[in-house]
Amino acid sequence: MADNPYEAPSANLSGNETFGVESGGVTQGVVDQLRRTKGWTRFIGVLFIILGVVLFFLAIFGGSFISTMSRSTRGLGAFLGIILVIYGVMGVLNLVIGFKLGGFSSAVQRLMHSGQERDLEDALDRQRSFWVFGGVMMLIFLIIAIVAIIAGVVTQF
Amino acid sequence: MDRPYVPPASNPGGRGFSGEVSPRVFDIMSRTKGWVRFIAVMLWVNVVVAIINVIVTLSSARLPNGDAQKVGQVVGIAIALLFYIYPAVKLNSYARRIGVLLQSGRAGDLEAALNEHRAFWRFVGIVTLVFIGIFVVAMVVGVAGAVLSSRS
Repeated sequence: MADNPYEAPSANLSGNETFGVESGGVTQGVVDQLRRTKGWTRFIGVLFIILGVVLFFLAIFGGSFISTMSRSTRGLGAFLGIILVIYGVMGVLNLVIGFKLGGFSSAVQRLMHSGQERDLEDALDRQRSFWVFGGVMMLIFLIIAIVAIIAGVVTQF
Repeated sequence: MDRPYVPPASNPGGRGFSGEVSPRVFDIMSRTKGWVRFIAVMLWVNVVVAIINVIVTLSSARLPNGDAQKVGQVVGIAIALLFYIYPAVKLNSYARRIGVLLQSGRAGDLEAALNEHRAFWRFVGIVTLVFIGIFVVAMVVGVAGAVLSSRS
């Protein structure tokens, strides 16, 4: 490419490594940063999905175990039931996070192949969606923690 | 512009030339910034709480198991602090770089912001890998210990 300085410019339709045309912020550097992020987000996403599936099945099989408990241990069963519901909710949350990170990685993969502006927008929108979800979850947990602290203080008096 | 032979001109202040982000990218990043900043602040809050925990532990009376327990607690909290500080710094930098991008609209600033984003995920990935490694080693040691103790 650099051997002939008078060579006509050409589009890079496969777009894996270099981008001849920059449009809407799709530069070589931007795609390179996203490419180097993709592997880590895919890895973490897969771990979240595995953890989510494990927690979800733990909740389901734990529930069926509680249903077989005798009447004398029903009190313990109710306590275990609450824990299993929390496990189930955590499992679903982990699955959502995993799929969001996986979706971001897949969008980056598409961007690497197309170099299209819409794929960049899709990838960035998916990472935005992940941060929004994480932020909302953090807010909810923060509120639960504050309520628990207030409840703890109130029950002391 | 009516003359067909007008020389090309650069557009340093304007929008829409090569190297600028699209309005949609601009919009997405502006809606990302607040949440990233919020999560970074929450991580910093965790750091502050952990530091207070260290101070309280150090200034407390002797623990039931002596100074060894106190030292163990402080070391544990200090290690946990390291795991919070770097992601907090990187997310804060990510939000700050997005702010710069929103001012300039340049693709170069988008690249700089995504560099911070990448650094955050690389750290999370490496820490996760280390923990998985420790977990596997602990499992192997535990199983080996159980097998050896059952033989003896």
